[in-house]
Amino acid sequence: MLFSYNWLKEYVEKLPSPKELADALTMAGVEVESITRTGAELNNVITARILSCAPHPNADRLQLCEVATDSQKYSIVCGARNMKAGDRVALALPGAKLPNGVIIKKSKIRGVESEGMMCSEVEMGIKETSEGIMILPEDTPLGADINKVLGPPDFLLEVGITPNRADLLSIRGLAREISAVLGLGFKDKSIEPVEGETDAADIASVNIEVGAPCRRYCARVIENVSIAPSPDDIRKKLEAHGVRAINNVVDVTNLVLLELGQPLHAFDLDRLSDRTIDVRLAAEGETIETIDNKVRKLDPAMLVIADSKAPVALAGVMGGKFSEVSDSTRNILLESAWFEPSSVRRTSRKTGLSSDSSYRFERGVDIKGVRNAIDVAAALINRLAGGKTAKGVIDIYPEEMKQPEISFRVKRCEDLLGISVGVDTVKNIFQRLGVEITEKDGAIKATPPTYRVDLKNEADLVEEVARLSGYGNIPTVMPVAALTPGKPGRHTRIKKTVAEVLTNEGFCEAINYSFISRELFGLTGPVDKKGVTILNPLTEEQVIMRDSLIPSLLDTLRRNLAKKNEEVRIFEFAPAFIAGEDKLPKEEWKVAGVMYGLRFEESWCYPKEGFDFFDVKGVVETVFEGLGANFDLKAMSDAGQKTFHPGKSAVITVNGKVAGAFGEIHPELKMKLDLKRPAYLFEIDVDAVTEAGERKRKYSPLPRFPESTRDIAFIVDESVPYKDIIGAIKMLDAKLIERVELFDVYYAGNIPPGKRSMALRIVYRSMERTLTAEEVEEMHSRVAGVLSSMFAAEVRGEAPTVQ
Amino acid sequence: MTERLADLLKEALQELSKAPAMDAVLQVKAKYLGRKGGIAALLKEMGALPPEERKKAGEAINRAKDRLEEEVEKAIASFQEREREENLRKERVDITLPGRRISRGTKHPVTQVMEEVGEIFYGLGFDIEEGPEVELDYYNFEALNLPKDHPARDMQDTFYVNDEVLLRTHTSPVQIRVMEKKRPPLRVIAPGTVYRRDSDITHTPMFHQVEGFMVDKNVTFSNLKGVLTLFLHKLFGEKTGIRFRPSFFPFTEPSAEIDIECVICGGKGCRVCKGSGWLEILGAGMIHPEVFRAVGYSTEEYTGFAFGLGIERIAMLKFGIDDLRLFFENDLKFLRQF
Repeated sequence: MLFSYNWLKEYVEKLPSPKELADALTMAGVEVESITRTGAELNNVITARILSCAPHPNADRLQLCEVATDSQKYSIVCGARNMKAGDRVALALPGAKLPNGVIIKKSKIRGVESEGMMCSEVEMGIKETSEGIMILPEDTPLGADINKVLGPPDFLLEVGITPNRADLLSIRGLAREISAVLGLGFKDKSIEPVEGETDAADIASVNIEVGAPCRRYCARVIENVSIAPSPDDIRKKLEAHGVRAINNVVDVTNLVLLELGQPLHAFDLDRLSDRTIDVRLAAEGETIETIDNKVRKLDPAMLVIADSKAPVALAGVMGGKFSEVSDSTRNILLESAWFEPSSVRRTSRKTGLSSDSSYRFERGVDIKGVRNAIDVAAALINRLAGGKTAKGVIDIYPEEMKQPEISFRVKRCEDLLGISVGVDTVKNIFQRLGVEITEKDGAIKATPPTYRVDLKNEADLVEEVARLSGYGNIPTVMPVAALTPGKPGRHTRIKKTVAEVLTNEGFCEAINYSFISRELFGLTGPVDKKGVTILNPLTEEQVIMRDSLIPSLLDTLRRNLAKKNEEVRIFEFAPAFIAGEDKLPKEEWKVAGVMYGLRFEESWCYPKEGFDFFDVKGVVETVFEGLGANFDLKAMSDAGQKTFHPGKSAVITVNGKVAGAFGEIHPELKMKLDLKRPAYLFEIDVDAVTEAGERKRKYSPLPRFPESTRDIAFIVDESVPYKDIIGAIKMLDAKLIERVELFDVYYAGNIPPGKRSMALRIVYRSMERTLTAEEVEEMHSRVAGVLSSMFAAEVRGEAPTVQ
Repeated sequence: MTERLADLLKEALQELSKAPAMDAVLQVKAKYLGRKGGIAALLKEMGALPPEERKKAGEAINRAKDRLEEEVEKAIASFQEREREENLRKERVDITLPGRRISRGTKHPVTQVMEEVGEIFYGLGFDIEEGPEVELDYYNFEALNLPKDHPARDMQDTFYVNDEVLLRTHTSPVQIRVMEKKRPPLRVIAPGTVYRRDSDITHTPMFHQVEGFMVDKNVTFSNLKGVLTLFLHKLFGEKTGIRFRPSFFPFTEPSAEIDIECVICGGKGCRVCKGSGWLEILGAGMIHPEVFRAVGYSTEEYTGFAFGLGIERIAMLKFGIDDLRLFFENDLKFLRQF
């Protein structure tokens, strides 16, 4: 909210400089976000309009402009470039003395006469920096004194008011806070209208329906007003605070809102049926046209101000079109009321309408101030719009709202803050804040002022003590606690391991938004799957929570390729959201990755080969090794899946349960994404993996007897899985066959189609003795036997042992 | 014979000394020491000598042979040495060619900062806890003293899944979830992803926070200052200026906003700190009695503090990143810098 420094000054004695004030308020929890200088105090600077701009005949960097006021033309040489013909500007004429000391006179600049200067904000002392000259609004009158246009010199403080401090949403409220924080004198002021003979209650009537969320309703009647625009200074004041000037009556209500924080509304009294106000909940099916020309449907949860027939305003939110003050209005009914904050907020949210009024009612206005505000407003209306205020205020206030009496323990306050403040300091602080206290047997009972709606309990008062003592004066002390080590979070720990493994494999970590488009959501899983959708998304790109990380990674890949990053290894570690029967979706943590481009980075020393299935398989193996877990594979049997190439992908299982998948991208998806090469993808369900428990590491004794190594090569049907072959070989003798290594596979050359050649190295060893050559030969021939009998392999003899 | 032997030796040594290369040495070796060489010829002639001279001659020839062999070996060794040196001189690589390696990948800067924050608190005995990202309104708002229709809800624009379920707007619901399950003493941090319905140059609809809290008997506001001052000094350096100023959060009372001296300008005032010399970095406060009531803790017996900080903001300051949106574009040219 914006606050005029000059206006605050009317209320506070010895107000310090804007900068000092801003620092003090910020350190007291009222954050001043910026200070802007406004207005001007200049001589001989008038408003003018640029007729034309042309290059200076003798200087590239200068412009020669024809400028006119309402009565006279001037020729001006100007160094700025931000203006064009038609712009309205501030023109300093000869004799003008600017705040920076420059005195303007007629002069020749590069041989051309200049009859004055067009000013920038800096030159006029309004701002610290500016770009070029100041361009004034299009409706600025010509030939006018710039001081009239810009207003008197002032500062505008932009203050961030936290939602609890409703009492600061006015000039008077902030001034009161300033005097409390700085211990300065507060000069309150009030005016009352001169009242006429007739009783307001004889002209109009007000009724609050029982149960309606309105605790107080004040009305005044003012007759015979003349609606007209407000004087310039009032309009300027409103505009400086971001409020549009409308007419003298409406402007007064807004002025009082800014100054006192009490929202007011003025009705055209002659447009209220039976001159009656009925504060009630809306009836089903009722509608109202609000002053923004929209017809709103009402429901019975909304509080309205009605006349004897229909709603005339949404209470505390916005007035109705029909009863608004217009140029023809003669008599008005002025409203100053206190509506239940939650009711105003509900109406505001349901209608999507928010106003300066509803903003303050929602946060809580001072119920005591309702009466004063209507008096001030009536007096001001009489001053600006004439008319006569009827006698008395119709003040419906069925039950006085009592402030809570809070027990305050100085000891408790000191214990919570960790300082000793003492009773006297506490009393002084409370007195500055207007909190009344009574003391009985050393116990303090505190009653906050009615405007401090945020002070409800002891903790709130403790904060006030801390705030006015200054947080900087509270000592900085480490707590005393039992010496216990921290416990790592489950996924934090797993992520650390996985990230270590994958960054070593050359992967960079990505973080994508958890919500994705429907299109991306549809890239994985069955067509009819359920998802967790956002009711109020910002864009179509962020409508549904992802149930797999793969779509985001493919999108990341696409974006990187568009930026010519063509060697891509990216992983992500995040939860996937699975909709189910429970209120909350299941959050399954996954690690997923995408590989695209060359197996080795493009370099002078590497072959330029693309990735294949076994690269991504290797990555998956390494991740599992890092997690200390085992896994099995099965073929991708789901024919409907459209993420992976069915023949070049696999499903990961852990203890028989599916725990992820990896492989080459489905050719159709590759085409859809317009990829030049196949991408390789993996996704592992880390919860499923780690739930299965970590593999225990156990020592096995080192061999004491030598190994014997024999190689064997054979041609076998391509459809025979490698895993079956080594399984069968190991079955021959689990004790003596230590390991089997595959060192060559090839298809081409003289190998018949549908077959492949494989070469195995078999390591034989006994843990108890040295094997004889005969034993090894015998076993090796059994290996050959198994290969030919079980797999119809054509054994090609011992492959030459590779050195 | 003695004369001939002396001449032979002299001649051989002379040839050896003049040998320009290894093969010349080998030729000398063959010529004099070979089976048909000069020495062998002399040894053959020895048979014709009378026995008394034969022994003497034999000894003389053997001495000469030994001498010659020794010199030949020396020459060979010297040429071998020279050859090795020659080879070493020739065998050279261009040490400036790039090394053969797989470039390491990188962790996301957000992850790196989260780990750093986590480690500081881990060292102070804080446990790391987690909570769901799709959360109940109850945990995200109500239990944190933010009833429906409370204007403070405006501080956090929310994505809803339905009336009751939303995307958590902060990591504070983890406070409630942990306190519901455990009794004090508690020292906990909860890093995580949070969501707010806000997207512009300084806001992304998803970002990261670390929540932390400590609950025990006799935890004070000055302890909050102690722990957070230590934390910020570890994160930004011991000399960083820190200030605590009052603020408002519905779930803490008293509440504080904590600023550090601007790390860009050193407190002089610049664009990043909007001329104030200070940067807002942490929100904190003493846990509100209403929050303790929601989890059934005695408000008389226990006190505690809680705090929350935005990770992206810290990462921006630490790495000098000037555009928030870069964090989620995942451009490898960006990611590889960390």
